[in-house]
Amino acid sequence: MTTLNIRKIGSCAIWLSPVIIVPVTFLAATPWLEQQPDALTLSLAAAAALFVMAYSLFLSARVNRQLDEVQVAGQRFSSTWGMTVGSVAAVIVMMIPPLMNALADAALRLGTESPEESVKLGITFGFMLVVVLQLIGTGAVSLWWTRRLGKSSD
Amino acid sequence: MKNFIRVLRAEKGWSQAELAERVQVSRNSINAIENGRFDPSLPLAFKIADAFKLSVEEVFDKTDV
Repeated sequence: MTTLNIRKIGSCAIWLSPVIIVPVTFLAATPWLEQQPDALTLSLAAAAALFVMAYSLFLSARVNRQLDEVQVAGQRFSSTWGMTVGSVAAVIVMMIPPLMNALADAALRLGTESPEESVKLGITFGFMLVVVLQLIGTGAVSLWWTRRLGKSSD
Repeated sequence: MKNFIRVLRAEKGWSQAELAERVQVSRNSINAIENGRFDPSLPLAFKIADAFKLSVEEVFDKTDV
């Protein structure tokens, strides 16, 4: 049983590793990338982003093939409600002044080149917040669904 | 939907995991169906009934529909 779990965890880690390795490599190469022409940097950034997105879709399709109908129903329920919960949470979070101010401060501090850059960063942070909260919401709803269905009497 | 999966499993001496393996779903899925928390599709209901060599009506309680 333990060997099976270790093998399963190892297999998951190997399958997930490209999603971690590519962004980490990209971040590690930042000092080198800063010395390269903008066109090359942007092309590499786009290639890395496309790879991660395409690989994530591939992983998602691969996992979906192995799910049974109860798990598929759970996945649908989780994604539908998780997205909604995450969006509502994002609105609520943005209504809390200290959090909104922290986001705006971060955008102003990092967008040092021009006010336009700060605005773009602010919008990006807003989108990131929505996506992260939707991800957390989906995870939480999925956990709830799994626990609800998994209550065993065996 | 009510069903007699628990009783039928006990008669056969099968665990949820064993039944799950026979009908090719996860143990959690069998647990959810057995406890009436999830209604299976017709193909899965037939698979479960086939595993017990019974008809669907003998495994699932149609009066509870």
